[in-house]
Amino acid sequence: MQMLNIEGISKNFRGLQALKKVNIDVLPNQVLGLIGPNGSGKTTLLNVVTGFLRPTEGIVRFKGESITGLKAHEVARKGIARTFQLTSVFPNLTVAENIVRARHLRSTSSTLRSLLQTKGYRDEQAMIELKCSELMDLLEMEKKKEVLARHLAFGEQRKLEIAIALATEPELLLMDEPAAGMNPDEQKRLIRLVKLIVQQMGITVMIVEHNMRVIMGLCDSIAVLDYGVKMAEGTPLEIAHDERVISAYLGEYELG
Amino acid sequence: MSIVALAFLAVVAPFGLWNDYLRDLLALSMIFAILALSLNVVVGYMGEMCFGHQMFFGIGAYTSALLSIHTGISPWLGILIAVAGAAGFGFLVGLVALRAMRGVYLAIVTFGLGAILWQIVFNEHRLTGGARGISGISRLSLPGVVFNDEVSLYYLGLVFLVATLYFFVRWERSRFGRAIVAVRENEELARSVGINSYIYLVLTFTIAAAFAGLAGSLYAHFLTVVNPYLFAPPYLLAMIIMVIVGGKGTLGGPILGAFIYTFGLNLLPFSKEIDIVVFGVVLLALILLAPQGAYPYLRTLATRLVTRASRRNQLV
Repeated sequence: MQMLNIEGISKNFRGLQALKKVNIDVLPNQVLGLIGPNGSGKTTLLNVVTGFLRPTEGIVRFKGESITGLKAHEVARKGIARTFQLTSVFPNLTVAENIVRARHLRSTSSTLRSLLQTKGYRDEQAMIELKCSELMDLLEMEKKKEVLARHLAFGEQRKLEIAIALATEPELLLMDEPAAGMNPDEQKRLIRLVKLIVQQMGITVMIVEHNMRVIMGLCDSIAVLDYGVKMAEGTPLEIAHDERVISAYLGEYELG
Repeated sequence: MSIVALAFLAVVAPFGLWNDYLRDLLALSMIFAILALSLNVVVGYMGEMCFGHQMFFGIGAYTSALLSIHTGISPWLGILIAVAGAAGFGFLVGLVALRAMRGVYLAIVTFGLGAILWQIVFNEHRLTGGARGISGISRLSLPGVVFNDEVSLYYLGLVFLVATLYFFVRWERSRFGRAIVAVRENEELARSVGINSYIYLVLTFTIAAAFAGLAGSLYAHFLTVVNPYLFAPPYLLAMIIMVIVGGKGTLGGPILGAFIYTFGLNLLPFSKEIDIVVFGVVLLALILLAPQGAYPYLRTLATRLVTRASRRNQLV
């Protein structure tokens, strides 16, 4: 069974064809990379899959079930999480409070129960705090948990974004240029983190990136978009040697 | 410890004041505190501005007034109906306005609605009494006590205010309260973690309208008269001033703002015209001194004094 099926997805913005009949499949527990020049439709594709945009035609299937046309919060409910291209956090809340918001889907206490402070509510609060602590430990952010998100350094905000996405306990994680603006050290740690997410948490990852070191170091399979059309797909080795991809995007890439 | 002190102050407050007029203002402050807290829901928790919020206040007041005059039902039940009415109206307004509008557009639309409602209430003589309003509204009473003097009205208002505060404190920490703050901070991100931002915005707006309606309903029974000016800009401005000068987004801020406004405006010793100018200058000074609001400012001040005091003890 496949985790994600993107079948014949097209997206038109009043005459601008951002995506044209794109077909991509993602297998469970793998890392799929999506690369291509700027403007090739990568983020648009992500937006269509996660419900922020409606496709003009085509179907998106998650674990065999169609999720085409579902709204963003409904897609999240199905078990798909994402990070954004421009750092997206809750700026005036602390790190801990940020992650708590992401537990929304996984907590069920109604307002009435919280008004009455029932045992069920308090147990759930303890559970939420436990989960948040685990995530903060995983991302080495324990020390920063009372810091306001907008006061964090850029790299840490990026980490917080990932923590927020993970807090929803997704089965599929879509990442939009997570390595943007990272130095080589941070990139290495990102690669290690994503590998951990896939291997230990059993999450499938689809990652949009320009950073070739991260892509080549991480992906089991790569798809290449150019002007909204999928122009190549294959293993990192195949893609690195694909003539069309090299001329359109990569330049000469040394798979050292 | 500070809560105990505050509770003590709240209970003995009326006796610390030296005339009826001051006690009257104290009772009124309770109602305006609830009203300011209701606007704070929109401004602080939703991060939006509703320029027509006074219409929910007016609806609550007039509903209670009309029920009192035309029917024989208990005024307590009247309060419930008034709150439900204001909430229902708020729900409809929110449902339509929040579908597509935020920020400036939302402010304009709500302003327009408020203005329309004002005109309707002002001109519709038969139903609402037109410019003269409605008088002779019944008092609230419980077996053994009629709430018709400043002291009893103050305590009644205090009970409602404490209940309101309790609701907001718990609501902030509930799943609902957390979700709406997430929407305020970053709507797109909130949606991506499964929060249906539209529904939460509409429901929160409804809650805000409900509490404004509660304040209005209490107002009607406290003063026994209502007039159409409850729907007019002055009350809107009063609310906004209370929330912003007091400190938006906090719970203590709107309450403090309500006190500053009620006592400040009415206790200035000059003639009415000069009072308003002076009050304006005072508000300006306050907001320049404490842009985040009086309450956050005082809170930071208090924390600094406490740390300085404890540090002094350590040095010795």
